[in-house]
Amino acid sequence: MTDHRRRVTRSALALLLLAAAPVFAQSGDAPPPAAPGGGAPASGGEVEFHHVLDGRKIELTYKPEQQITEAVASFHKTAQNPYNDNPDAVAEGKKLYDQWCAACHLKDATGRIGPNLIDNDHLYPQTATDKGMFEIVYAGGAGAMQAFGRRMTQDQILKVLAYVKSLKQK
Amino acid sequence: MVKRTSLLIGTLAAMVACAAQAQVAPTKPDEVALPGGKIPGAPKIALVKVADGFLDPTNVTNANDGSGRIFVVERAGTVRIVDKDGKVLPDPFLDLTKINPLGTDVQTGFVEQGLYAIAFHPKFKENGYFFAHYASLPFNGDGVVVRYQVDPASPNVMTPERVNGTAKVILRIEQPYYNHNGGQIEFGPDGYLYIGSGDGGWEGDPLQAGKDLSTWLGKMLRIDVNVPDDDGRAYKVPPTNPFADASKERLMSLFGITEEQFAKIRTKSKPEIWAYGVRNPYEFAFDPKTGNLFIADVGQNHWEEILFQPAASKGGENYGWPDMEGKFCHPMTGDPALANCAVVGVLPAAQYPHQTPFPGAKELTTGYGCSVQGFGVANYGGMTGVYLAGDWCTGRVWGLGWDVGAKKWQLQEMMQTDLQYTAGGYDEQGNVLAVNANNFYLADQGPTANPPGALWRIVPADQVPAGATVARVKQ
Repeated sequence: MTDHRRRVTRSALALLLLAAAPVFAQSGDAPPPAAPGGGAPASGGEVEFHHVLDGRKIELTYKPEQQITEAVASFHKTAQNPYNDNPDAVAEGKKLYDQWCAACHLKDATGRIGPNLIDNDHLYPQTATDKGMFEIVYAGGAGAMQAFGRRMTQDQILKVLAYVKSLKQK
Repeated sequence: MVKRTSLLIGTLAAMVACAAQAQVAPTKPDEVALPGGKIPGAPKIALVKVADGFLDPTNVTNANDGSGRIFVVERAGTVRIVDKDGKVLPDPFLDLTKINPLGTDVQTGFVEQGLYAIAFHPKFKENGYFFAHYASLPFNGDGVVVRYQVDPASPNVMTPERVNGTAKVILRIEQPYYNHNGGQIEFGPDGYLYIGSGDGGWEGDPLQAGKDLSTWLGKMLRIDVNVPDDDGRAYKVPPTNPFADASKERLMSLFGITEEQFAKIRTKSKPEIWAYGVRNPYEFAFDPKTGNLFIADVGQNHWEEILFQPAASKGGENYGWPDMEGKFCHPMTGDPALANCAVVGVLPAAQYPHQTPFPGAKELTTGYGCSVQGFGVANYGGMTGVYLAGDWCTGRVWGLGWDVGAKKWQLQEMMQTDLQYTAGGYDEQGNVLAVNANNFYLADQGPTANPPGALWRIVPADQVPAGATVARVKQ
């Protein structure tokens, strides 16, 4: 199955589950979620992001004071990371990765407490894409995979993702 | 002692009536429960948020005084009160950062250090006593257990003067390293104070503390704090502690003594030891209905374990560490199924793997964790004596329950959430509570700077109040 088909299937599943779920709010700092989408751009041309655990929409409310850089604005529209293969961004991403990620995923990203980030196995299929990687880093996954959007700006997260991608390409 | 005796009699009566239901610790490795079990009658559960905004919460408890208050312990050295309406009171109940003119009294330099737990005296309502266990900064991280007394005129706030004026150090546990310092303190149904004491840290138990009876490290301790202040002792050793008699110095007799009698002479043993062979019993809980004890013993590289001790226990159990890692021999060098391992001590009731269950194993994609944090024992919503625990890394919530029909333990993954659990406890109604933090190793900005955590109540999913916030769950 392609990643695209996996995403579609997952979104459909999330819709089914939500339809049967009782009405109450979910944890996290975001307000109660809107109806989940399949990752397609919303009406304003912005990409919708969804939590890897339950498929609910992620509201980008962490660090409201942060500057939305050109790269972030572009990512919101395309779901493609403009920092990929950018040496300066990758170097900056390495510093952030070593600070926030290496304890669990190791310096070479082969994983210890957290999973290997440079192989082709994905606990959540969507993390094979820039969009999915952003979703899990920004809003968190399970347990200790916290919502790092509370600690890093979105611009910093994109640089981390570019660095991880550079490790994978080595 | 009277209470424990009564409980013992009650428990024995119940055992006679329902012999088939008796919960027992496994005696064979294949009886140890693994993930994949199903607890009969266990409902789908949900975590309902009670309150949030707590700074690195490390524990939670109640005073059992009818006030309905919940006390959330914060790592930096503070305790917050959540009142019966779910409101967090503005001033902390206890603030150990303000009692020493030279600065905080609590060592928080490593993420495993800080204020670990508080416990209220069984007669708190009459005497106002409560106890705290924390890593002391002046004592270079040693764990101190201290008693305080609440001012009846100020039931929700201990002023620094009140803290210093009533503080009585019960004991100090020397800590060689900054991890595995244990933490939980709790009064048992026998009225004695139980202390979870880790092996002192590093990894691999370099001091071999778990099996060294001459140290408090790597032990469950039990002491009697009901000592008059003019006694000269901070606590007494319960005479029924397993090494209370063995530890005494005595005149030597060589002849006419059986080997069994010789084996009861352990003059280097610490009489405070209740059980040994534990690695980091950071959380444990008594079943409020039966008095059974569950210990969430945090594991090393490959397995987490949950220990079961029946209420009728006389103590003295060796839970195996550092010779055992769950039901397997330690250190693990390869696939334990191929190892020739002789079991040492009492086996855990259940264990669950890390992502890599043994060196060289293929990584698991489900059903794993990295650090077990016990919550409490649920006796509601279809659950009978079900010990609930969460995993620090994966946000999984586990239930451990006795399957009466199959006469064995069942370890069931109840849910997987986005929460990083650190501990649990009870409210006054016996509902199981959990707290989560956001303070993982390198992602630790300090106990007052990390993103805040929250307090949760575990309820059957069909009893979630309208409008309540529930934990995000993997679908």
